[in-house]
Amino acid sequence: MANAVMILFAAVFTSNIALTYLLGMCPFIALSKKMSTSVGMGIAVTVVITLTGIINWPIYYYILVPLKAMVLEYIVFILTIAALVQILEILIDRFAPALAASFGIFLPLIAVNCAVLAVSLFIVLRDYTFLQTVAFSFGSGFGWMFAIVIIAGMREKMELFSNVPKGLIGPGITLILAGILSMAFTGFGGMLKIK
Amino acid sequence: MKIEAVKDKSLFYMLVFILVLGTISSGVLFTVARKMAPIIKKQKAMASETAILNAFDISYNKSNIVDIFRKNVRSRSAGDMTIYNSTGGLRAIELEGSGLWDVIRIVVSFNSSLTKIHRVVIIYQEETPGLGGRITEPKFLAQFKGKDITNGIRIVKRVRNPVNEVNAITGATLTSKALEKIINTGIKGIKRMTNVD
Amino acid sequence: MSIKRIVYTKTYQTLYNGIWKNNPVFSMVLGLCSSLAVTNKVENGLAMGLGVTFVLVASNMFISLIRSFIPSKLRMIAYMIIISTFVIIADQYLKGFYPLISAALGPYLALIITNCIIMGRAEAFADKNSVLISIVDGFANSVGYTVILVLMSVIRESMAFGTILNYRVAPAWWTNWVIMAIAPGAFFVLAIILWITRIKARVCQI
Repeated sequence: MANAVMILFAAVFTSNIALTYLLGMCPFIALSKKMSTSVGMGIAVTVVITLTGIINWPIYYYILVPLKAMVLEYIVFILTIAALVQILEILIDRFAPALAASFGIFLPLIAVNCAVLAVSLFIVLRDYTFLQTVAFSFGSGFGWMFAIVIIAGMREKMELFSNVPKGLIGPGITLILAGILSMAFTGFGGMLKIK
Repeated sequence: MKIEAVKDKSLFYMLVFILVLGTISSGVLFTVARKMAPIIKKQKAMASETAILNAFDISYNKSNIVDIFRKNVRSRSAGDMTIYNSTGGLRAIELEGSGLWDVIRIVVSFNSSLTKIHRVVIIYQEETPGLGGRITEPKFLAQFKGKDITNGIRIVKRVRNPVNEVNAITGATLTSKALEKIINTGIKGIKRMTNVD
Repeated sequence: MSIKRIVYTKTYQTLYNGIWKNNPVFSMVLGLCSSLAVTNKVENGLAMGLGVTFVLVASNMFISLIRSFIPSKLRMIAYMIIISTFVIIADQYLKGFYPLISAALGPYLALIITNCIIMGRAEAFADKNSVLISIVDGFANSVGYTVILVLMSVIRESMAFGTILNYRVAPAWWTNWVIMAIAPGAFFVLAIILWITRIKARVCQI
């Protein structure tokens, strides 16, 4: 299996969680209208994915497996994600209320962002070591942020210059932008060389 | 109603609720898992047997896989490797190795004199969809038929020596290299095993 | 009841909203991850649609059944536990009886848990309505969702592989548009479907 650094790069570029695996799409389409929201959401998602990956790995291997309770994997993972997001929400409310206000209802929604749960699932599916888990979690979160920020930049420009057809305004044109960006990202394939 | 008044205020009620819900849910799931476990295990074994039958070009129906396998395939183990021999004279081995993301499990079949590959069948892979994942496509796998294994095979960007080279998947260099390594390890293994006896 | 009066029954309204007016995919723009990811082949899109139907109807029914017992502060957690349980049941069933489809869907079946449609209906409808109409609502939204998924997979599979449900449908001269099998194709097809349906259903932009 690839080493941690390669996993990190692959998660950001060649197998981007949003543009290749099509995960985390709902907020991706809904929130990419403004750059500031996108950056904030991107950072929050990166933090949540990294932390949940790091927490769910030992939970699976040191609690669920010894208890032969692997069938509860999905429930336990989603509950730890929800708990972590709740804790984060409380912390941000306490130490950065302005940030909390700008997130609005979107912070709690990270708990149901499929990208977050998917990363935890992939970690188990691919038998990652702890170090690979850290690399993959951070890389996935960062890759998601990378993609949404690019789209937000394009959408903000389009607000000023483009004449979008009526039926495409909003999610429609965002999907087309995402499609083009996804095609661009496939150009990264072959960037990594195996040693 | 009493419940209305209690449920929104009492911490005790909330704890009881979660406990009851959690227990019911776990109970249901453990029961389902116990019931399904043997069925799922059988499916995994059938996946291997199906792949081996495919590698030997032996036809089968969903219902008689196990019978057809028993009738047409003999296996011989030595150490950690099992060689499957078909009644038609072909030989096959099951291989596993690291891909880019997760393991890749394949079956490779050879002609009886162990000079050429007959077929490569992918049992399991978790490579990037649309890129590495394309190693399961029939067009890619069909390339392996008849390739000479004297010096191992190579999966390359541009085929210069069609005797033992096939085209890699565009944009999936790592997965292609991983697959090449798995097949060549298998070739060395089966040669070693058959020269020993 | 005369035909005209049927239009005003709650059942009809629920069905109409779930399938067309507030279609979860093109109107509410929910459940995008799965709409994009598993629609590369019709069998996958169909399996996903059926999976969501099972989970949505079952969880709507169950949540509606116990809605008076759920403490309001624990709503989200209760929904998560209930929805996850049904998803795991569906997952185990597929692994045991349809392992090829389970492998093709991969982790996306488990992601039904985070499918905003199911959580959304639980919160917006099942929590406040009786069991029977909740079942109808779950069914309606599932149908709306499945129809879009199957539509997308038919388009993508026929262009990317020349087949529908593995039967060859494309003429001999057709060159496979492989891009339809991967992410960009999904984005473009959904965009066009959204375009057409939103104009037809006269949905305002979000």
